Amino acid sequence: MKKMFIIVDDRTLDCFVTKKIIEKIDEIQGVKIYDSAIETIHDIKSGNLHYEGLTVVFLDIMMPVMDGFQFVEEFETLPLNIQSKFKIIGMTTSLDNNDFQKILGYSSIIGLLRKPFDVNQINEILNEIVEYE
Amino acid sequence: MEIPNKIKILYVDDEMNNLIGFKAALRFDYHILIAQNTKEAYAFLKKHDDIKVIFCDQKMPDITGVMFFEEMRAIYPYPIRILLTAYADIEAVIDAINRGHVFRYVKKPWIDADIINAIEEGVKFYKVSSMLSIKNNELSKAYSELDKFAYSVSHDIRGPLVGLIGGINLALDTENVQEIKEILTLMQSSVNKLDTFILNMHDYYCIERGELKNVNIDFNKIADNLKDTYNIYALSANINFKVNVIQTQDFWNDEVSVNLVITNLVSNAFKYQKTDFENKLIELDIKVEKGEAIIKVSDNGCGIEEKYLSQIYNLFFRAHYKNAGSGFGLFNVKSAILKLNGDINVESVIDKGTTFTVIIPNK
Repeated sequence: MKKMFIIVDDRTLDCFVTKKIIEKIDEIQGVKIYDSAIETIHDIKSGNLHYEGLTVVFLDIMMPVMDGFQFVEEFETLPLNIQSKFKIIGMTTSLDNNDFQKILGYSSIIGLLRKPFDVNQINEILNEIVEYE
Repeated sequence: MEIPNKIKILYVDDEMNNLIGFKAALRFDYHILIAQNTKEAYAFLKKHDDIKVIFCDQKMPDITGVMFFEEMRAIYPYPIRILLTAYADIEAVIDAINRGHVFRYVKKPWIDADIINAIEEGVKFYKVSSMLSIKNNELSKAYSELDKFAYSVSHDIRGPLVGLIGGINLALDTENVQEIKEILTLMQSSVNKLDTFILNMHDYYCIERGELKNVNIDFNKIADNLKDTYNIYALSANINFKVNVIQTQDFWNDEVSVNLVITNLVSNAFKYQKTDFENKLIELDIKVEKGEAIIKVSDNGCGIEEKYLSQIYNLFFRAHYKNAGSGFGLFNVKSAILKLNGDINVESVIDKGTTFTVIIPNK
């Protein structure tokens, strides 16, 4: 089944670039862009992002007001049947190993992309996902 | 009533006559506090954190002077400790001096000249050692701020740069001129944002390290410059920008800092407007009277959430996720105002607007 994609990044240019890269992936249902984590978590909670298949969230870590960490912490409090519909991939410009460890320490984050990245790096992470029925 | 500007001296002795004599002899030159036991002494130390020198009698009923000094030193390390003692206790004194509990001793019965000399030497030592510890604290604070600064700045500069690299890669990958132009437009705004960030960082540096230059400030000129900068934008964004200056007297202060404060507040007012709102209004009111300038910048824009109001002046704090700033703006404003001995207040209601009121004294 085709996957749905969401980009959460406060930088317009980065959203544009990420979207173009994602569009190179085979089997995509659609790409939706959010410039704020608050709106994203709100839409996940309210069911606005309901999709039958799997939704992959490309989450920038450094964002004002609600950052990637706060997003993931709130996401992990949601009911498991909602959580299981989403897979989160972190995106960062950090060079700090401590930051990488912290990001990958969250169980709902399945991979980390260091900006700038290309489609091959995305595919590597996506190939790890075991499709569920 | 506190006696201002006199050096505070505490004298602890169980004999009332000694205390009275000490106070009588020295009270014109110093602010003398007297305590008949260590309990009273601690009460004074707690209340007056600026006691510079403590005299204590060695022979007291509950505790020796040396023991008291050893004990109080752990809690109040800064006051200089001077022991009053007769010759018979000299062994205890030597030991106490060597172990660092006592700065020096004055023998009993004392004469005024010995006490005054001891005070003067003690105060000198107090100044040096407390200055050193203040400087040390400032330094370690500066170091930890520098670490935070380097971390944040590397993120905030690398962020847009990495985005630009991504944009370039994308543009090189496509033949579509229309798409390349779209990418270039996004890259342009990203570069401009980065440039603003670096300009703000330069302001930060200037405020923290720069010298103030006291000049005669013409607020009408500052206001005219702002109008020149914003009028076209205000027109195109359909914002009513009202500027009102009443300056009836000369005003002296550092113009660069004053300008920075006004420019930042006005630029924020323009930035945080409600996009689809009809009657957008920004008012800049400057009134110079009675030796101070009162600057009021108000807007009916998106406002600041109440829970963030206490944090808006923090470095790298951003209360808005749309159109987030560099994280320097209000921090720079507050630093500049502190340097000018001024004051800033904010009132804000979410979705209703924000008013900043700044008061800067004439120098």
